[in-house]
Amino acid sequence: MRKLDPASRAAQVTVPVHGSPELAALEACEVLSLDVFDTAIHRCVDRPTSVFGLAAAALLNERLTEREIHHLGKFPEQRVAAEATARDRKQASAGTREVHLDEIYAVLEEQLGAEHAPLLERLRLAELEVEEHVTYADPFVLGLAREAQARRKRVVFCSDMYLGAETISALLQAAGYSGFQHVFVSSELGVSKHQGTMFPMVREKLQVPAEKILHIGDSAQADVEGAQLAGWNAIHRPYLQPAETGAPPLLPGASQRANPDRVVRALVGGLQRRGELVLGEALQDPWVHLGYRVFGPLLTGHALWLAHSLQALRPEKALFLARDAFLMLELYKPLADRLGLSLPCEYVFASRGSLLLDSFTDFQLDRLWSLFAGRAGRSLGTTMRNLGLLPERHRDALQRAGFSSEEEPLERNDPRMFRLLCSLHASLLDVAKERRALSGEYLRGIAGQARHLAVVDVGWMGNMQSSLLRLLGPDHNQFRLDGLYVGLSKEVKGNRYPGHGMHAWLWQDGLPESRCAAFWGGGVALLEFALCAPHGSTLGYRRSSDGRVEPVLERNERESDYLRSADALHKGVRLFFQSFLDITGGVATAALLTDRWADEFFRLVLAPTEQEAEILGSLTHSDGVGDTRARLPIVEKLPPDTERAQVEQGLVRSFWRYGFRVRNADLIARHGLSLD
Amino acid sequence: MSTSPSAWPPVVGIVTRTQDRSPLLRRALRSVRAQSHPHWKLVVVNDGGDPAAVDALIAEQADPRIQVVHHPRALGMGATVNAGLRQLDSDLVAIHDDADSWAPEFLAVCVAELSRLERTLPSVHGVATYCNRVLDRVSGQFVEVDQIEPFNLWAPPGLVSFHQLFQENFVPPISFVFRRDSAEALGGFRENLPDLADWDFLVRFLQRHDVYLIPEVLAFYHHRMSVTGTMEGAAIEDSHQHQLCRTVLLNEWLRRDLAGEGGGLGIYASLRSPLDLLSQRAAAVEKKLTETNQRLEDVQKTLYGKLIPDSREPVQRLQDIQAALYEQLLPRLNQVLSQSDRLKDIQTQLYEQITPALNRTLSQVERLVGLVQRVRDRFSSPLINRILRR
Repeated sequence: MRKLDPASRAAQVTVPVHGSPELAALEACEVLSLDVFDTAIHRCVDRPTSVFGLAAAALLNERLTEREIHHLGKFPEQRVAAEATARDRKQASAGTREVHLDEIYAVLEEQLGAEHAPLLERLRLAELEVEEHVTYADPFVLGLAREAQARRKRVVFCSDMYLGAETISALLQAAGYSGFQHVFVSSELGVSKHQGTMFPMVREKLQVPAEKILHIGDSAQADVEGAQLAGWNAIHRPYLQPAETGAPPLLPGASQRANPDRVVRALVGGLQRRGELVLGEALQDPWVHLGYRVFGPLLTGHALWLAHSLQALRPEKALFLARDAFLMLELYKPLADRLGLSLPCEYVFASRGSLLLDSFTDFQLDRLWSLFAGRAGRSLGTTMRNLGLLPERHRDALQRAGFSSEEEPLERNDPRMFRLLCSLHASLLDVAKERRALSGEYLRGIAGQARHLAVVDVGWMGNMQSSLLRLLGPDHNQFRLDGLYVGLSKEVKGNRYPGHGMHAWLWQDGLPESRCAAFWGGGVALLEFALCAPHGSTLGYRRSSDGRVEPVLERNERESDYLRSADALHKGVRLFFQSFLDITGGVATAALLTDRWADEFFRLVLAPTEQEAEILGSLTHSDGVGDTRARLPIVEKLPPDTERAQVEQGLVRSFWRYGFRVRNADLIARHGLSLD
Repeated sequence: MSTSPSAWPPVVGIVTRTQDRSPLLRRALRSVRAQSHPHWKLVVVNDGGDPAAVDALIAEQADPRIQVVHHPRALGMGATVNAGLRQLDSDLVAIHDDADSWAPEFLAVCVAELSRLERTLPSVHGVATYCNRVLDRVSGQFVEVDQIEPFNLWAPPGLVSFHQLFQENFVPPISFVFRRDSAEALGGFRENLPDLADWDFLVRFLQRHDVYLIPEVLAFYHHRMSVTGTMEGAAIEDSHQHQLCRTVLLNEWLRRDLAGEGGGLGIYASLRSPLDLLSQRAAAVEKKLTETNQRLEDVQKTLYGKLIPDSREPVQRLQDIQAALYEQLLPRLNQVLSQSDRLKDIQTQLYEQITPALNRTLSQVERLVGLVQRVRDRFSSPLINRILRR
């Protein structure tokens, strides 16, 4: 398993301890005694037993027999049961339930058979390595320990734990603790805190009066009552409970099998908790917090899926298409390194505005609607000029289509515009032909000699993939394109070409319908915001002074707030992703392939909090192809006296219907509206 | 198509039929000249129209790739296309009627696809693209597009199914590029059919070769909504004539089969005809059922809106009626559908029985064609050629 660079561990962050009751209580003491797990150090998993699932997942990288794979699947359950058995036996034989890790593995070997001893030894080592990867210091307790040492107080650790003192000492040091005097562990001493037998023994060894010791721990019974009974000073410092992290409690008897869902939920839950503790200040910014809590897990899961899909498809090159794929590429690269993927990757400056019209080599009617889609009610003249058509040259056609002037605003999905573009189809095809001279050259240049290309895009109908294919030239049949998407709607059918692939992570061709509904009900707008690249939209292409074709990027002041918020959100995503990389160094990423990563995202889309609906709803979203000047709020906040009909229209205009429901809850209740 | 390196990029020969339709011909010339594949030769065959108008239009283009052939009197579709084909020596050919049009990439995509298929699927001697049906309005010298709708996008991309094409011609000439040598081997287009010569040609083409359908909408199959003057003759197909020609062809094929000379096409067509009828009726019943169901749902919704929310009894009654109607109609529909399935089974069995005979006949025909070719080569004289062509 990859070793961590201690200096890089954010866990060494401390928080100020001055003025705290703990420091005040320490004044009169000579020794600071600290509980270890869940007090001095924490694990980046939702509960201690989740370590076993990660240990099993770590071994999946190795060459294994079918039987070994079978055992690895059951290992978390077996490991929990073996520990219970070892404790029962110890109770019967020695009157104590304190056991050592070696005793637990001895029970496992006894149960599985001696032939599995090598596998169990690998699991034992993996468990210890996972412990090292997932633990980090509590910033307050670390600060307190350092302050105590600065005041020449001795620092010791007391733990009821099956690991040995040497192992725990190493974990503490890796987490940032140094200069401590002793580590007292129940598994070696045969006494425990929860029985109250450890405290007198420790006092004896420290040679200090009981009232001169301050013990701090998370267990009211073992750490506080036990210490106080021994005459020590004790302070209860409860760690965040699982309920507060959003992780569901584990039902008694519930399976602990090492399936990816289980492992990922453990990781996400643990990392969320780590974020609250260690990154508290950074996460004060609501955008960073949203990035860490919601989009970090989502995009981590997507990056894993992407890396494995690319590994399986073996394209010659991967093109990360348009602004939505900018962050995807950034997250993909370190994973690719970990998987040993040397696939050339390139970011492609593109947008619907820069490719869609140019790609009209043919005239598929379904695709025509997307040329003037939008909710902002742009004028006919503006829309036509965006499409390279001059209204003054086509006055008769305008009239025949039902327009009276070029100033007339277009309605959403205006059938008159469809009729007009049909009647001007030859001109439109000519415009497209002229425009694609540059866009085609740019894309062919990026494709280079590669003939099997992967196209990484967010979704949703595969328009960009089919546009790219057509823009590669009339001999595009020499290429094979595999599109990799977050989701694809059923409308993707019109963009499928025989021999080319379109693969999606969360929903494929509109299924499952519930996810499809969540995305069209707001997930699309939220994800497009979260993935927005820090540069302006690609307006088109031009030839530079050195003869190359380069993208023309928009500088849009109206977009600056949107980009600033996205940038802060990306910071949160990166913090989560880096934490993930830190703790899963040796875990087989195949063991983490699941869509559980998206749970918190779907929660956000379908049931946002008021604060989430407020900040995300206030963002403005670009509207329509090739024109980002027109921006609409993702969710309008309607005035309190809005009439029923206007509320209903507001919902239709909204990019996020579930956010609309929260942001306008009072109005909806007052009018008795059901928005389902 | 020749595969020699010197033949790349291949030249595509194009035949355009016209007859006193200058506005349409002007648009057709523009469509051809806008092709991004510049290697083409166009033969405009003026089938009995005013030569001066055609000559003037072609002179306007000043394009040496365009030539014209005038027929002093109209000879009809088949003869006109054949006259054009005879002027061409290119490997590939396409028919671009004066009324129709292409997207600029049509030839480029077709040529690239044929070139790829030549290596991967040698049985393919022609490619077609998806096309839209364009409804034009012509007034005086102006042609305006009234409406566009998908024409054959329902057809699955890839190899064209002979079975489906036999039912209806969904590959109009404007969307088709094919090898000239294959067309010549078939004797070109039939000259004595006032309509459906293109369908007849495709049926004969598919008896020997495959056609690949490219899923890109690169061709526009134009029709005219209302026309005046000389345009009238070329308006939306005369359905009576269309049906007449179809029957002529089917009768001919069946006659030949019954005389032991055919390849089984006539018998095949006769067998599937009642099945097609039954399928149409089943579809009609299903459509009616769907409509009835939709109407009932509409009524239900209307009543729902008018009823007091708590009073659900009438709605329940309506749902009961709906369910009862469903129960009555559904068995009838299933009966029709199961009959259709049984007939389809029979059809499959017959098809399996006929196919070997059909293949035998086809190979006989190929041998005969070879024989004729050898005879032609040996006794090459104008007199013998005339006799053979007859």
